[in-house]
Amino acid sequence: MNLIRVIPAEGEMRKAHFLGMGTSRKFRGVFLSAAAILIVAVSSLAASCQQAETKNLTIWTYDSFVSEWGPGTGLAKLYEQKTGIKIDFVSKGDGGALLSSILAGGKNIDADLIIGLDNNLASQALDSGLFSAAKLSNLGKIDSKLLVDNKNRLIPYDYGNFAFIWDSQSKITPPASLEDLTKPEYSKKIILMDPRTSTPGLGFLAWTQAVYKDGWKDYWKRLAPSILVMTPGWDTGYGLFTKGEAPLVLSYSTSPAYHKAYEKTERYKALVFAEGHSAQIELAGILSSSKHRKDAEKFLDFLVSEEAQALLPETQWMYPANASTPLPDSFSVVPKNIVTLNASVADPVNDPEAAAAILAEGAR
Amino acid sequence: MKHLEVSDLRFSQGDFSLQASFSLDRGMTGIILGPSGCGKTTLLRCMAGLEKPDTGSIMLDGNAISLLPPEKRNLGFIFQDLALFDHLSGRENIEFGLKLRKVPKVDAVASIESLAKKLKIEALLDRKPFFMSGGEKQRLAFARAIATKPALLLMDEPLSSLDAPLRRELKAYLRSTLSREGITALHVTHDVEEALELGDEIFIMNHGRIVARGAPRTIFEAPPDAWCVRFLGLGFLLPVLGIEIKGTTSIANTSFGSYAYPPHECKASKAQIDNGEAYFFVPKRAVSLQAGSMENMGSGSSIGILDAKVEDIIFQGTFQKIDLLPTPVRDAQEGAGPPTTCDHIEVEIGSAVAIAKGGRVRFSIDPAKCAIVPALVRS
Amino acid sequence: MKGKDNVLLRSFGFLAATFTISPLVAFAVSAFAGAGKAGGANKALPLLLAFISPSTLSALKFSLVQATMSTVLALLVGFPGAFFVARYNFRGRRFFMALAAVPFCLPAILVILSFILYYGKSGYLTLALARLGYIPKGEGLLYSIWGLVFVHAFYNFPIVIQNVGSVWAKMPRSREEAARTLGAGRLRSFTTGTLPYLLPSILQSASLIFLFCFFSFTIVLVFGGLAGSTLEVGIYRAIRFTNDRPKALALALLQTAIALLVVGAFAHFDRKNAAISKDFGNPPPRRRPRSFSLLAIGAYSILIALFFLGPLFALTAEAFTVRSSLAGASHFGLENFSRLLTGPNPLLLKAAGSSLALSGFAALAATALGFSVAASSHYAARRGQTMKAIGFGVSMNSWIIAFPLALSPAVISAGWSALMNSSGDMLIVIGQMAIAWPFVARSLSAAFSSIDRTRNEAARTLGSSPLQAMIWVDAALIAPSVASAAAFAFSITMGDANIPLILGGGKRETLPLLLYRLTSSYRFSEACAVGIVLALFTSIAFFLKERTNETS
Repeated sequence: MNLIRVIPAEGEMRKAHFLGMGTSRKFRGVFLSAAAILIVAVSSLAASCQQAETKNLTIWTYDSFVSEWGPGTGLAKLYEQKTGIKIDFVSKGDGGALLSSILAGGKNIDADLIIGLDNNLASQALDSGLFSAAKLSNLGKIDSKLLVDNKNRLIPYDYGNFAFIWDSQSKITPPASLEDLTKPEYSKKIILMDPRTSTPGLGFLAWTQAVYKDGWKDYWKRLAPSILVMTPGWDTGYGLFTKGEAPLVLSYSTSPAYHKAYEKTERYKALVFAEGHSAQIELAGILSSSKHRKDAEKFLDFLVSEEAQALLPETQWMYPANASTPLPDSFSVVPKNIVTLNASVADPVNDPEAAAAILAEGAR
Repeated sequence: MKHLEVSDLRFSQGDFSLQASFSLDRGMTGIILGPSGCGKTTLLRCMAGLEKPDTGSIMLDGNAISLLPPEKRNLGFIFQDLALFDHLSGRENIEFGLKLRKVPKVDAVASIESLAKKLKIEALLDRKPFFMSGGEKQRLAFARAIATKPALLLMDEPLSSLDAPLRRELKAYLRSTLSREGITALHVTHDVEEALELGDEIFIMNHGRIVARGAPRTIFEAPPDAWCVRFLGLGFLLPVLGIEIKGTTSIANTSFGSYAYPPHECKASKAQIDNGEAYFFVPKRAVSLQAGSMENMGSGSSIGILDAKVEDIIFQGTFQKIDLLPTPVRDAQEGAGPPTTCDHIEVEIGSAVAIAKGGRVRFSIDPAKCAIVPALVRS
Repeated sequence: MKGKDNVLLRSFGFLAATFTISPLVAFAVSAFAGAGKAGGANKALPLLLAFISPSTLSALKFSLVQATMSTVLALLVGFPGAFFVARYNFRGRRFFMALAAVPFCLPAILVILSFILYYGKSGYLTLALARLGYIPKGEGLLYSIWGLVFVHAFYNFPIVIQNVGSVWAKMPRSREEAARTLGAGRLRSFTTGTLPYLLPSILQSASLIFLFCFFSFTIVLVFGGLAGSTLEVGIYRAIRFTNDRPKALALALLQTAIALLVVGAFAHFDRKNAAISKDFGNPPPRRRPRSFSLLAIGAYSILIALFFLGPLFALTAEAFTVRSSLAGASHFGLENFSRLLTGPNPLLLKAAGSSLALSGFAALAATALGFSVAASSHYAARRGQTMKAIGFGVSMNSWIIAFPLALSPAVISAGWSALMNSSGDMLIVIGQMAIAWPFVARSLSAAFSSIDRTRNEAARTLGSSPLQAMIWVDAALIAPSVASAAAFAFSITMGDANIPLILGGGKRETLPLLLYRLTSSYRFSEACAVGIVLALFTSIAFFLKERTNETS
């Protein structure tokens, strides 16, 4: 029963022929709307490409910088009031994604400044040759230990020590050293971050390498039974911690300040290990390809000035790089006697993989 | 005791209720005939154990099977969609029941071979249903159902999805196989011709009740009510306006004339007649066409010659079916009463007779062959 | 006529392929040409080495093992649900079917949070059990491969209920009944009369669940914990941390190769399923469950409520818990919501508005594209022009639609990133459309093939032209499916956090992005509040989809 062939359709087809479409009116409409969407897309693409000619400064950064609770909006407002220059922050995801975007973009990056690399990712960023030296007046105010790059291509704007946070309401005694963490009483009581996928994890790896040097692999073997979980990022790990999954978590020494400020509690305490802690130093830099060098330099200078730095502690929950910046009240709970080690991961390509494998072995 | 005895089987669901009692001799084919929705499939399913009746008993070959699950009832069932196992070959389909009865492999193989030969499905044994035509699938379904030598074969409209030539072929096939193998069968259908051809005994169902039963001839010649007349297409009905008894003659008054009918053929009660629920049933064989047309006829006399307009002529091959619309003899103005229109009359005449659509003919009714039937019999 | 249809088919296919392929090409190009390590030709060797390195192989093994185990458990959990949904009419039946929305709309972080809130050490379930005197052993069981499999299964099983249940509901019972009349008991009748016809949909669901688990990233790392890592982790790390794009490419190719096999299986069983379903006719009636089945349904519902809804409930409770003040005391209240809804910058409102608008447009665009691809290939197929691909005997159309499901999310993100130097709302819409259209195309393909052709032909006999028949009959028949596919596309795009970030520069804050930012800023309770709103929106869309499915 094939009525479609019985009733001659050719006549109808010829009517629609002139549109070059074979079948029905319905498709025509849909096809046209799909085409319309594409055209609009392309033109908006073109339009946004025009932006490069305006007087804005484009800054690529990571996501929490531009979020409601980050310093981005405050800094932009302040800077615009002072200089009239508008800042356009573009979020690229997390720190790793930021690095990845920079390296992928190469010389074609449509940005002036990068804010949000850290000491562990610095070497890759510098190797790319995309950053150029900055001349800043406020450079002297920065603690010299933080100056990762002697050529001043990447400038520190804040830093924090990695530290283990202890839930004082839990029943365990707080450990006092990295070695303590391997004791049986802490079996499955520690939340770590994955060194393969997060900067705190990487920072902890650097920490163990700084303390144990060549024996770091054995340390990780001993540590394995204590680890409850290795989360892909800080947020998941800290979330688990506050939900009571474990009494110890790898985080920043400044974390207690948040709880003091917003939850009015001193329940969570940062532990000081006498042997010293590794640190995360956050860096900003000007791209060589920037078309607004002068303005970019001015902004970077502004970023490390006291006025801007004052915004950082309660948004970034890190120490301001500018040592003369006054700290807010909440930071009173942050231990001040932490020794910062000069730590970096020896083989950033293979060591994280090895560390994770050791933990997996130990868990079996 | 008959081979199959069903007593007071009742089933109800929502608005629908079913109540049936009937019996069937061994080797007979019983047809359950009725319009869609009358409950015939439900009845069949209750017998198979696929539906649970509320009460009632089913005795098959002396065994009470109403409490047994379907797999223990030793029945065969042919479903309307045939329900062949598509992932198995023809042979495996037939084997299925045999394996479950733990028939030894040797016997099973022999069984299948002989069955296949008898039913002419040898070519289907190694094929999958997907590669079979409608008729082939039907025969396979049939083979599968009877391979286990069931005590009773149930068939749910087995021929309804086939086209006419296939239906003819399979009707012949069914008739010969069922009688040759001596299978007791219950066959559900809504097709009157099928029922008449295949049934030894017919049970007509409507609204969940068996309203008529008997051999085909019996039902044909003496339908119990107007509904059966219509459903079976036995003839046409004239609404009865009243009955007059004049001595030994009983006369039925209708808008199309008054007719004396055989008194013993009145199946309606006085109350029904008075309520206008009785009809004068004129079977097809009681109608004969007269030649010529009517120009100046008086009102119909008791001889019963009526005038009608030819509404349609349908060529049926060996005969013609003529659709007539008779002209009422009595006027509508003569008081309110039953409607003066009646069914179209279908008359069969030889195909050689020349007759024109839209023309007028005369026909006569032989009242001796007629009867009075009520509108509906509630049993 | 032939030529025109081919042109149409090819042009839609081309459009669709462009969206899918361009980020991949961009990524591959960046792998070989980009700034970073040594240039072009030297990349070939590392690429090959990466394929056979031990870490790659163990990641591969783990990816396969956890996905398989999760799939099996999901099938086991979902199967009874499919049975109940198919055979019985009971209150909450539609709810069961609508649960299938969950795997598509909750972002991973919320899944994790909700499971922790419920099953964790201080979780609701654990505390409730402790009250009853039962303290479960196995600390850290949640963070082992068993925990992972459990989470995966209890997250994905509704897919089984939805896919298998809907086919089962329409399946005629006659074959099973035929088996009974032939002497088979209940179990045997099931395995002979129903299971063979159910198998394609079971395997189709299994393929889909396997894919989701195979690509799972955060959930694997948290709950699988130290048990191992998947290929996706390797890819992520290679792109983001070591900038080893050749390695990422190698891993991605390996991952996609396997995924394509599974996707091929999925498309194959999907078609088989559709072919079987076509011959079904009218669906058999469903019954009200009687005592024993009612009990079984009740027991199953309790099981589901306990293990599946529990975490969602915990999430809701957390959204209304305000943690503040001294000694970590907390109370129930609306502050989490009010903080996000009031003030000079009501984030929740803005995010909700952005999400609704962006997803709305993306869903429309995805529906348009998916519809075009599905429709043109359907009508071309009717005229006998499917482009057959070698191997599975599955047509090219199925491949175009199914291919996007086999791609690594990390690679796609990186690809879009490399491709786009600018950002904007329109790009977000395009990116989200690229994610969603395959799902639309797939469900509409199925809908098209089940269009009753005879109705179209009946319309033709009544005098309408081919166009009219197509528009009035086919369009009317397909309209509910289009609406439901659009709702589905809407749900999927709502739950995506990546695209607004990558293609929008983070300026357009959608609900998932807001959620992500909250969790990065210590604000977990507020994140839960946003999560509830997100889940609500996506499930409403899904619920509507279910309603239209029912009535169609």
